[in-house]
Amino acid sequence: MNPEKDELHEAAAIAVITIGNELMGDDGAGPAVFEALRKEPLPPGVDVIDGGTGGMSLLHVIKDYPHVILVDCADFGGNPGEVKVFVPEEVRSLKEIEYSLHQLDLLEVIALSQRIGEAPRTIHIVAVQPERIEPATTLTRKVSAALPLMVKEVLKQIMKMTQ
Amino acid sequence: MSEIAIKVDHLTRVEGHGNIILNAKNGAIEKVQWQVTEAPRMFESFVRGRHYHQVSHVMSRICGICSIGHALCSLKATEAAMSVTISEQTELLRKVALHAENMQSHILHVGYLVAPDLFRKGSVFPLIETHPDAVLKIIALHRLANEMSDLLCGRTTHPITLMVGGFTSTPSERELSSLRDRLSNILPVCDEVNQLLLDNVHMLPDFTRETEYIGLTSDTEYALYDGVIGSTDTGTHPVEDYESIANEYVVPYSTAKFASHARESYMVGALARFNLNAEKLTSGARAWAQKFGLSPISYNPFMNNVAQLIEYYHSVEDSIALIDTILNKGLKNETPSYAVKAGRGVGAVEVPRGILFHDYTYNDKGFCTRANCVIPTNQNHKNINLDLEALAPTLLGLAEKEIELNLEMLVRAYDPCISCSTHYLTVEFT
Repeated sequence: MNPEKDELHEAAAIAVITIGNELMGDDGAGPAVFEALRKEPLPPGVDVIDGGTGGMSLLHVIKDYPHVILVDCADFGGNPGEVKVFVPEEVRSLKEIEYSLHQLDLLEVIALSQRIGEAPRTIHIVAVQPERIEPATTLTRKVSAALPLMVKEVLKQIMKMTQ
Repeated sequence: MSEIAIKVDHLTRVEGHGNIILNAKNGAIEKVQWQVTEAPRMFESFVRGRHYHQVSHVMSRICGICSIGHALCSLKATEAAMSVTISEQTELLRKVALHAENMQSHILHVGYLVAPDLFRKGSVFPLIETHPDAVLKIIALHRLANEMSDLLCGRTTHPITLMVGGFTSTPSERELSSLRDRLSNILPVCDEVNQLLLDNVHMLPDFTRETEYIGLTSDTEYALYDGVIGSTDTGTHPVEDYESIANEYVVPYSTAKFASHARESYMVGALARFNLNAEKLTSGARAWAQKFGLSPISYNPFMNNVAQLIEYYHSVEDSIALIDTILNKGLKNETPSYAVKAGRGVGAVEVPRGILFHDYTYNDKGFCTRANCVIPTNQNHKNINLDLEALAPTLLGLAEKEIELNLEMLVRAYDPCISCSTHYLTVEFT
């Protein structure tokens, strides 16, 4: 509704959306990548968005972009600090929780977005395997060490999309 | 639990974890209890020693859903402490901002959290397969409310434009006019969503228990931003008397404070507001109340869900009227002017879940020396417990799953700002 913002959104083709809670140990990987990306020179047309803890509001954010890169921590059964890049279709959620305001399943929001015909053309998820998700304001050493690789993977995806 | 010492000066808990405990043996209830197990959050301590211009920004972090309401209540308390008067334009714009939050929160609750109960689904996501049209409409209502918050407050959550005495920036006339059109266009969608709830309202249990309802009330409007304290039992009271209304106390089984006034418990929220102020609703909202057969005083807590949708309608219609007034008067570029001074002030605002109080004391340099907040959800905890005690015995003939669902639906009806409760709820049977 803000004209300047609308123009920006029209111009921006890629959104990098970081997800996570920096008060919950390794769940803060997303916010840490957000801070790191702020220091990187990015090509025009890329918005870096701190998506906070996600939630249904993400539905209203991702609809504005043809390409979205989500950065989150995810338990994919890997070694702590291991980084994987995947698309939503490659995985299925093992979460058993029902929807709540704060801890809903990111994959469900993406599925909902696809179902209502609003989803970005491409969605990539850059994820790190956490070691510890519990109240703490620091990342574990292994996840902290994985941050440069996460940033590199995000930049690689941006390069692929902009070339 | 017993190791957690709750002190009166510490802030209430508004997010977190709650449990329902039900023990029944041989058809008799031994124990039924709503427990809140969240740790104290210390916000009142956070703002001590902080300069007044920071306080509303810190306090808005109490909640990610009611952040506009917390910011406005905080600003009102600070303005009361320093005798700051605001312009008519600021008041009108703040009212629109509060409507945005009310709409955002109510549709999120009814659309995403309650609707799955009505359709016997585990969450909103499977609903897209069975009721795609309904989900699309709910998303449209949520989206408009979010964008309205963006426009008035600078972003969807944790407002940045609201400040002591006014706004750091206001929307342009063109933006307000465009918002007005969008609000006007959303009314038919509201009608359809309301009709959907009406078609399924029989799924809400027919349960009543008399209690006291408390909320802001006003002679001139459906009180949300301003008014005096109203009680269905005792009439009206000045906002400054809030401590003798809430009478907060602690219980051993909950880390959240409880509250009581004329009776053992009272209820705040959309149903309380409706019970106190129904005749002040906009015409469209009143018409929907009639269709739902809702009239004051309704003692069915499950009707809080219905009252929320009626309030969504009211917020849309009233926002249109407020924007018309702002545009007719012409949007002015205003700069707040006031002097910092020592004093104590109490602010009260109706946030989606009920009446909210902030109370600050400042020194002559504008630094906060004392703070106290009374949050809606905590005012409801005792009422939830008593409702559970009354409802549970009526359910014992049902299958365990149905008992569990009914108890969960009751707690959800209050829309407690222990929002994660939709999955953190656990029900134990012994």
